[in-house]
Amino acid sequence: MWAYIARRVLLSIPIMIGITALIFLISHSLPGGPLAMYLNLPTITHAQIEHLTIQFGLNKPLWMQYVSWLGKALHGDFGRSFVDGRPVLAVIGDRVPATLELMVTALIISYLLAFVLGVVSATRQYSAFDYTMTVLSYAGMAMPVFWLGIILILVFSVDLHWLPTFGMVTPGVPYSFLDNVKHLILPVITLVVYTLAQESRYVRSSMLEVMQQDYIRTARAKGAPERRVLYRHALRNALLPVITVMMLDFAFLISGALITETVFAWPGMGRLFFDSLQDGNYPVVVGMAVLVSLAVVVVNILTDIIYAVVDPRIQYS
Amino acid sequence: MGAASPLAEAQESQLLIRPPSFWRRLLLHKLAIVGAAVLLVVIVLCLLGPVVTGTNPNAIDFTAFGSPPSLHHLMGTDDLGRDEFTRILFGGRISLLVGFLAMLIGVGLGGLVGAISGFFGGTVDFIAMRVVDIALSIPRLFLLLLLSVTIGQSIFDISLIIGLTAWMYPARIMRAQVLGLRSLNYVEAARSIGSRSTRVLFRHIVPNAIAPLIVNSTIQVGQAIVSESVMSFLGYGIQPPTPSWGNMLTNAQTFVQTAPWLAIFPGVMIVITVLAFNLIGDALRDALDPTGQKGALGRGRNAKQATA
Amino acid sequence: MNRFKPLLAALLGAGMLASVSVAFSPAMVASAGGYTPSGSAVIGIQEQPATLNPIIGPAMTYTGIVDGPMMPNLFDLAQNGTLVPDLATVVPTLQNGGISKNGLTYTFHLRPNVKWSDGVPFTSQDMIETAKLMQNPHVNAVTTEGFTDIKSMSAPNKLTVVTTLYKPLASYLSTCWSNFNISIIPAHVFDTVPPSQVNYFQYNEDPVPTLGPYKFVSWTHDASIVEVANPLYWGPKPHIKKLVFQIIPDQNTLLSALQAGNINLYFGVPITQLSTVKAISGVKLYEYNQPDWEWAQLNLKNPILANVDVRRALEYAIDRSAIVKYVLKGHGTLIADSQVPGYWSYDPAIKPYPYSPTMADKLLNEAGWKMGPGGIRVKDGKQLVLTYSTTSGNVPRAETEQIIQQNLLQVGIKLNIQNYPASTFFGTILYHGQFQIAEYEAGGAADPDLRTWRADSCQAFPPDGSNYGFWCNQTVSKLLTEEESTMDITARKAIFNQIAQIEASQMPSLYYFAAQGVDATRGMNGYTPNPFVMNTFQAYNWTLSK
Repeated sequence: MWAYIARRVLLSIPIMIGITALIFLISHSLPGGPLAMYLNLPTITHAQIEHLTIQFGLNKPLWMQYVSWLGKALHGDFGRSFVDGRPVLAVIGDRVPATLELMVTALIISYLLAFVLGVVSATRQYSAFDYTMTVLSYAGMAMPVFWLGIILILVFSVDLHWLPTFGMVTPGVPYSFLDNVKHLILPVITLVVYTLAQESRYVRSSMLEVMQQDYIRTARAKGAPERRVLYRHALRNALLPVITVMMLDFAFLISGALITETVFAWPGMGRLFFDSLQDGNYPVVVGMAVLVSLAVVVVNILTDIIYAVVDPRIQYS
Repeated sequence: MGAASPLAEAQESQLLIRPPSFWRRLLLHKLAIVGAAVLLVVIVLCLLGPVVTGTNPNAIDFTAFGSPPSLHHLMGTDDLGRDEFTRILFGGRISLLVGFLAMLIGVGLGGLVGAISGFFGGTVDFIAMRVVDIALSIPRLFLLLLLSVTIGQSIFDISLIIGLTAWMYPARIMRAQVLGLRSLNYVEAARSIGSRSTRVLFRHIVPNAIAPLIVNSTIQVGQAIVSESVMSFLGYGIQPPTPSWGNMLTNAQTFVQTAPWLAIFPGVMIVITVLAFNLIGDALRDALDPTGQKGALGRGRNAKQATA
Repeated sequence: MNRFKPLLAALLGAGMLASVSVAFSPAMVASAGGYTPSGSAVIGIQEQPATLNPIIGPAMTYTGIVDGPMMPNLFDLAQNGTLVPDLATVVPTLQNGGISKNGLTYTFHLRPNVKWSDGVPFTSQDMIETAKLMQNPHVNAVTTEGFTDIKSMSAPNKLTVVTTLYKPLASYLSTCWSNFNISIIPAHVFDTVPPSQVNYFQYNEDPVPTLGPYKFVSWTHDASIVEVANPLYWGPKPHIKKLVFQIIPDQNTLLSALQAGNINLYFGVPITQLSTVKAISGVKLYEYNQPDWEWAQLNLKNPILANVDVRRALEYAIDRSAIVKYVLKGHGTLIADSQVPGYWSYDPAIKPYPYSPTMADKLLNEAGWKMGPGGIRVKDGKQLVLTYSTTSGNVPRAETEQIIQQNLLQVGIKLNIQNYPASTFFGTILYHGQFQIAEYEAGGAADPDLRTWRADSCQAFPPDGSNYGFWCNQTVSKLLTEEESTMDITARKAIFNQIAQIEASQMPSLYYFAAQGVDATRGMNGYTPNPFVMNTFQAYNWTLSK
């Protein structure tokens, strides 16, 4: 067991290094170069550009830039934003609460719904309900998220005037919880539709798999009531794979919902990444991509370990 | 899924072929038939585009800026007075082309990596799978954006970018298949009579492992169409005046309040088309995997981050 | 403090409303009165400022907007581009002896009894410290233009500063000492900071103290910046107590916020939203010409475009009045050259080329481009195919280029479109000359000379200027040098006129139009648009109406 965990952690080291190197390399081969946001100023002079190049360490070979970046990053220093000179971690940190608010709300709602819908679908496989759910969830996945967002805005804001369109709170008025919630509704619906489509299918599959296991058949054969079989035996066992998969979602949570945040002008981390890329704000782009990817790796390891501990069927060699 | 999890691997090796139940086949085929029929209509309409509407998709008409749908313009006109219906049909050609191209690139590359990885095993396998892990750990949308800025915006560039963010799933599927098949009798037999390894790989293993890849391909075409629209939305799409469903939809955002039809039609086309691909994929998967334990959804989990 | 207003919204204009060109001076505005400032005004801004330090780069429009009410300079730019005293008591001229005969020495008289918002008196040291930091290579200055021309500075007393230049510079006052580029920073705060630390200094986020009618309260990142009336301000007392700059990073959001009545002021309403904004009850629209213009630079290193007949043919072939009519919905003026209506150097006598496919046809034939198969012209076996680039994701520009594409096809020129995201477009494509035809909005200078130099001089090839098309006309370069040392405005105008005529005949770039800017207020009075600077510096005139 411990050997398995150790192996798993060791394996992740080259992956983490690979991730940082890959992101660093791609980011630095972006056209415009790291100074693009300065070069487009008509007033910039040759001398200023040279000075900035030295100030940001861009005059050194790429591998040296990478090594020095990695060295600092290991100490928690991801550099400073090119835009405002603030530390990258502080810039990212500013966006965390907004992203958490949106994502946690959306994920909780979609998990709860996913369990109910998925379990019902599985227990009534091939019923009209199951059939409808299948089509709906595939439709949910076929929908470009930004289009769904725009349609929701069209209907609920532009036409019906029921809900605010953009942002986290109404600009210019004192904060109120109700106002915040109103702003949450449309982006959360957008995210839930998309997430739910996948999660409910996943719950359904997992339930179906468990229900074909021998121990369920045994339970049934022994005459246990169907209800008991379903909820005592099947659901409990089906939960495990579902939960591990859902854990992965939390890793992606940090990246925020880039598209949804953009459509609804939600000031979260996804939008920060997009804006930074547009501005050519390299330190923030690299910092965010690396941090989020590393979080994915860490959650993966945790998931595997938990899975290995809990599920005796998995052999760890 | 990120780094190879036992869960994922357990699932990948479960593609066993068993006869499906009658009811299931019937029901799912019904959906697949509807999907296939819809897709056929869409493809034929798009290919016949100019014959159907008789107008040039790029012809600017100063007298018809932003007119709502009417008998003359079934889907209205856009901000340059161009017939929206004609542009939908031409845009469909581009979107479908990108969909198929991206799928070919993604599945081709992934299939190759997976086959080599599974067949040779050892260090090759280890390195290849770590590369897959790395690519899977970077949120797909981040990768899509980074590559968009670096690579370019021609139809091929866009397909390449989408393919480069989607090859990891086919790679894993292929690897699992090859691992399963490698030890089977006829492969062993081929080896024992001294066939070269590449010959064994491409003659004996790949053809037999390809079925689950086809399922994945179907889903990938749909995903690629959605990805193209997302790239357009983020400003890295097909260049004007060439229409694609993605760039039409993106452009329409500006006019949501004044010309909502511009946002509705391209979106509906994307949903219908991608849904059709998904249903076909689902039916195909079922035909191959009658236990119904995992949907295309289980496999394509990370694809979600591309569009949220 | 406009700086890069043109970057703010591609197709907006700021310009005249000629009727409001009343020379403005804070001292002249009715002051005091028996009221206390009350209420708060919400100003929607589309981007978060990178820094609130007025001297730190990269230059951003929104730093200027937010700093406007807090941070004055020695002079303000009036609506017509002329200087009005603010922290100085008088504008130096040759006549009043403020400028020496040789145009090198300037004497500034600072306003007495002015206090920073922390109570420290404003003195000549503040002005000198500001200039020193702007010149310091460690400081990531907003621009070094003008400041690098200062040879020496001295302060004979607490309220007098004398600066000496290396060479005469006609735009010195507006470039360095107007509220266009920078503002004065407090010497008593900065003199303890090593220059290398200025880029990351506390003042960037927390600008206390300041000199304007409002002072800084708080900055909640990605949400809002709050300012409050400054009781120590020397000038007119503001009517509104609090200014809230709400960061709303999306045009659709700004529009709905205005519709909902949640913001009082929306800068730079995009042309695509105009009809919707007009329909909102209680909204006042302010339309004005800007000192900015939309053009397409032609890369003269390209052999096809090196031919002047081809360049002129392009200008004739493009139906620019249709673009102004349909894309800008009429909110723009056709231009013939780079001296546009927003500047005093504008000469309406120089007429824009008419739309004439016949003239284009004639010129192209003369240049040897004969109509070939498929309706595309051919010369020496090569087809007349050009590539057109601009910033992607900008709807009016996408419309414009597609109309141009259709126009050019009618005269046998095939145009391929290749757009890029703004940072790539400006940072790589323009900067490294990787384009054939590149459309964008130019402008961004307080005085016509610097930006004309940047665009037209043979010395202004990148990276030294923004002559991205590599046009080199010795006469123009000579005229520009001559203009720099001319102090008399009539004489300067005559020189600009000559340059404009050369531009119009040589067509180094395709001149399109100067778009009007549109600002909208709701529930607020006393707003005056200014084409040169963000109008927040006059915020003490604003009143709320409900």
